[in-house]
Amino acid sequence: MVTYRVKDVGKDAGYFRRLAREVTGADPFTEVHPGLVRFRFRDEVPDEKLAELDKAMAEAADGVRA
Amino acid sequence: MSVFEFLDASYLKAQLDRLSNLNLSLAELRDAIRGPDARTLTDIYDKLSSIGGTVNVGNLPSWFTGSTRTTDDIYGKLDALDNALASVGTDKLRASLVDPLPAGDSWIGRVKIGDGSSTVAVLSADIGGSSYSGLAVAPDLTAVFAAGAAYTEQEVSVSTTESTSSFSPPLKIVRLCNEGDVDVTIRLNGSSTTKALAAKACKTIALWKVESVSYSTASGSSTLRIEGYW
Repeated sequence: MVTYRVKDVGKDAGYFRRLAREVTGADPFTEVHPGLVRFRFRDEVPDEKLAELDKAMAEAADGVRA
Repeated sequence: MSVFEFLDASYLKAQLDRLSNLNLSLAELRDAIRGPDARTLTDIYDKLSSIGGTVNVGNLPSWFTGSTRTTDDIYGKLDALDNALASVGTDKLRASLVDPLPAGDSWIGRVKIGDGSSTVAVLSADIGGSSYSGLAVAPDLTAVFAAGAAYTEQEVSVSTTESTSSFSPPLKIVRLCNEGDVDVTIRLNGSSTTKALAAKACKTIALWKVESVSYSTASGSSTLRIEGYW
């Protein structure tokens, strides 16, 4: 489970799920709450892929991994 | 007067001609009737007597039933069975299986009941209408799903400004608990219809899919716990 504190950019879970899928190659369950995006991956994601996801989330919604 | 005076000579000749056409001696005729085993009428009689002593037609029903039944008994039972089967027609079967189901349009698994409207449409409509389609007895999702990977739980703050939580893939079962002291207004999947979730109350909603839950209060603030299974 990977959680990000984010700024509200008006994007839903489907948007962030597609983003994570493009960056990591894995398809996580994604939930978006006010100020929060959480990914639940079925399998462990390599650190280098998580680093790429950190970067993508920062660009998309000022996301910071919690 | 001789006997020939009473017989017509031409008639006698015709009869003699017919006998001459019988190309079989009496001995041959006898042997043909008796067959290769040279059975006699006595043999046949004895055989029939033997069969008659063995087969008692009156016992036939007991061979099938194990008790003393007449063929009329058996016929009566078959007749009753026939009548019973006739009364269980397709209409009666439909009445037994379908009529107890709730009226309206719904799906039970992949079985269509009604005009094919999906469950999510029906329940979403009901949530905003006069009836609330929550389960009568809400299961404890925490106990059921918490140990599984497909369970999520999140507490969110609720204020007069509406906020939204979204899920992908959509949640199949959602349990919403208003832990505050004021009612929370709920909207599902962006529907324009709303439903109030009373203070300190929980509702479990079984939908085909819940993509989003929007929540707000009329005044004051509350905390909403969202549990779900995808």
